[in-house]
Amino acid sequence: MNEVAQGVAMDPEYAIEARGVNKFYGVTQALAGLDLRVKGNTIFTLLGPNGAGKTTFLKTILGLVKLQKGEISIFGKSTHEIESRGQVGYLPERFYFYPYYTVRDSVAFFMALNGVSKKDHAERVDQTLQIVGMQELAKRRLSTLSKGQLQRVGVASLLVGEKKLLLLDEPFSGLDPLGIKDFKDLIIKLKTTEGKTIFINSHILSEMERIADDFAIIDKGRCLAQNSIKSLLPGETLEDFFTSIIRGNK
Amino acid sequence: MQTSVLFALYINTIQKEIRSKTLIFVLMINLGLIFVVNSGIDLIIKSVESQNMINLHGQKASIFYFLISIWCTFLSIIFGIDCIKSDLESGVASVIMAQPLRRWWYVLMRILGATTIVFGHYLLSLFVAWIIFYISDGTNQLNMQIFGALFATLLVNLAVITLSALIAMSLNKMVAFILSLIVCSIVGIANQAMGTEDFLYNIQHIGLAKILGLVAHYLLPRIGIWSSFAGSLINGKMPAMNYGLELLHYGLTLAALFWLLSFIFSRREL
Repeated sequence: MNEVAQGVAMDPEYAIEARGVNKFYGVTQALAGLDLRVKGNTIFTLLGPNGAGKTTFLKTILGLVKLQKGEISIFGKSTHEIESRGQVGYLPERFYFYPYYTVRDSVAFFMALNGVSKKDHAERVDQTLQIVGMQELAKRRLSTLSKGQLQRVGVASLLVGEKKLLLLDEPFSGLDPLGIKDFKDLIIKLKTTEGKTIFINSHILSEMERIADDFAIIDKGRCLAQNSIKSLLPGETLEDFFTSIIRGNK
Repeated sequence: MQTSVLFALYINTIQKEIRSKTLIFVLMINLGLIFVVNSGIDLIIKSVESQNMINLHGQKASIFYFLISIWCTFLSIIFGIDCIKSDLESGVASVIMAQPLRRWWYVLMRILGATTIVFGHYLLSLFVAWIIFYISDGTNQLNMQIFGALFATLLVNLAVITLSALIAMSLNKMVAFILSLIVCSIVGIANQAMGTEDFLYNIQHIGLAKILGLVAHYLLPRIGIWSSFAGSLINGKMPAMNYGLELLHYGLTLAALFWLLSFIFSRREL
């Protein structure tokens, strides 16, 4: 089953390039020859119904889940190379870290794991917390934070090191409307001022339509459509397009 | 391999235990146990001596060492099971492993961190016991020989933690705890039964129990031998054994256990 194609030249222009990615959980096929290309410095959203394979794909990028066939590269570097992960930050749907850690300690820990010199920690932790708007809560324990604040700590942990690609899995899940608004603003800021490429798995089509540049729709592990938000017809919403694609696939 | 990354993981292992309630709870039990053991031993010594049976007074440190070693084996199992399993259960493992790390780095630092915690408990227990003994009867019961046994105790802790972490990879914590206790007991019994005999003698009269014993004695680190070694040192004896060969066996079997643990963890989907 392990037929990973290695050594195929990938284009470094793309933040993510996936070719023929297959993944089985037992007899269930989670990814069925998925092909996907994500351009650098864009906000890209991967849409699909529950069980479509969105989270599995995201985890294969990080090597948390082993793909059985196909190839994924990050900025032209195969995900088989551990160095490729140095460019990627991952925020799970429910970011969890040791509740007795403070915000500052958590960010400092991720800096250390990314090889940031200890003497630079204090300054860079402050900078990172400022970007995510958490500098005033730096000394608070994670156990005392709201879901939205915890998500921001998660994002802060992505901004350490030299990460160019941020993978966010259902980042709006569990946030209140204000939390969603703040988080959307943060995502746009990360793209425009920090030059990051942001890949988002989401169910909230209306929000993604407002902030994303490009999108792809997957179902049953297969990519059904990939396009830019601008390519939607006048008067057509992302939700209309998504519904027609998914229903057409039934 | 970046040493600063390894060090961060190692410190994180210790911090996550120090800041958790489990360690405080265990520490309090530990201190309580020392007081109970001290009073219990005094009671037994007085009772036995009043009947003019044997003089146990000089054996206080040995008895205490024996009990604290058993306690530390329990702790090794608890922290061995928890060091990786808790991260897997909480989802922290996937957040950490999304960083540019090799999985065996993580496993190694979790094992070494847990060993440091247990060994720290051991040292603290010795220190507190020394103070209690000194205050209660004015004698210096803990001598340098106890510190000579530290190395052997460290080997035992490291092996038990690695073994327990391995067992916990595919079982829930309670089952893993019980199974680890059983495996450690089997290894200890097998080491006592087979440690003084040569290989050809040990493979005579093969049966199911014997096969189990042979596997425990030859394929797993000999925690029973090293525990006995530490105990003998406390009693001022140097046991007759081939130290070079035993150390080589320990090193090889521990490396094999660690490799197996790392392999299973690297194949695991997070």
